Parts: sequence; C-alpha cells; structure tokens
Amino acid sequence: NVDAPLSSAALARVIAEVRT
Amino acid sequence: MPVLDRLDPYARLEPVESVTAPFRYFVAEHCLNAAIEPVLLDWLEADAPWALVETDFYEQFEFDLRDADLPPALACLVDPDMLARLRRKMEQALGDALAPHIQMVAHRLDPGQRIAIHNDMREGGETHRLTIQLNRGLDDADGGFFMLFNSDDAEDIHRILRPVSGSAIGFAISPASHHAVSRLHGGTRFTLVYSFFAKRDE
Repeated sequence: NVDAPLSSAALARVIAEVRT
Repeated sequence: MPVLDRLDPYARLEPVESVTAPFRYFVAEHCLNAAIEPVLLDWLEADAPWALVETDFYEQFEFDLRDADLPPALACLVDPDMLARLRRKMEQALGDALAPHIQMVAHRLDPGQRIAIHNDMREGGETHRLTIQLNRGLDDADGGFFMLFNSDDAEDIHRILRPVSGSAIGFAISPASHHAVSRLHGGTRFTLVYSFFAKRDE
C-alpha cells in the first residue's frame, strides 16, 4: 500500500528533486 | 456539515510497523476517523487560511491549526482531550514520555513544490513528529513521496513512502532523522503535522 517501488529512472529523478 | 460531537478523530491511529534504524519511526494507515477525513479535505480545499511559506529548502502553504477558525465538525481535531489521547499513542509507539504541549500545523504542497532533505533538528525544538497524509488520491506519477534516508546524502535512501491518504509516519527527531518530500507533479498533497516535546525531568 505505502512503499513505492520506483524504477531506476524515477529514483534518480526524486533524488535530484530533494537534494540540497 | 455534520456535527461530530466528542468524536475521537485519532481512534484508528495504530502503528502497523515500527522501525528503529536509521532512526526510530512507525508507519500507520487509515489514521483519521472515516467521517472526519472527507469533511477535513473539503475544508482544507475551500476555506482553510493558507499562507505561502518560502525558505531556502522548501516552499509550501501552511497554517497553524490553533489559529484557525475550525468548523464545529472539525473542532475535535484540536480538542485537548483528543490530543492527549494522541500523545499517549505516540508515547506507546515510540517509547518516550511526552509533555502535554502539542503543536499542529497543516501543510499544502501544490504541483512544483517539494521539501528538500532535512532532519528537523533545532536546538530546544520539538523532539517527536507525526505527519498524517490527506489527499484525493495521488498516483506515483504525481510524486510527493515521503523519503527517508540513512544519512544526509540524498542518494542514501532508506525508504520511499507513497502519500496514501490517511496514512501516517511518526518519528523521533534526531541528528539521523533525515527525510524529504519529492516534488509534487499533480494533484494537491495535504499533511497534518503534529509536533511533540519530550517530557523533561523536573
């Protein structure tokens, strides 16, 4: 229900989105 | 709007999974009373007093629930007795004694907004956090994932949680409690954020 299994491309995108 | 007198809006909040590393947290689902959730969503969308807050690492709309003119149907959310029950649930879930004072803020993330990696640590600040998700249903393509990290490195991911409406994560704030919210690409992502303070020895 809650855990999001992301593709490697989607994972790279969300990592870039939260980088500070 | 129905009047839900003396209803415990948090009665269903029970941890379904507790984790100790990289920091102490629990995950719960279906946390809010089923009668409250749609009423609250309607109010958050139509009447809530949102204010845009911009900092160096996030931009979102917020308001403090203690400042808000809540409709009668939602007054139970800030009822001291109900918050005391919620505090006891947090104490049981995380094993720490908490002071009675609780802060409550609503967050709204619109498309394009995100919250970068941070750990919530502030000197003299709150020590425990509970966030409850509310939305009309977000797909993975909409983003807005709650991300947990093993360190302050954004690539060092511990876990990624979908913002399933009614789900919650509670955690003990520490130097290790790194988390973030990925950019929202569609829909609207509401969150109720409760902040608690560890009870100090007198």
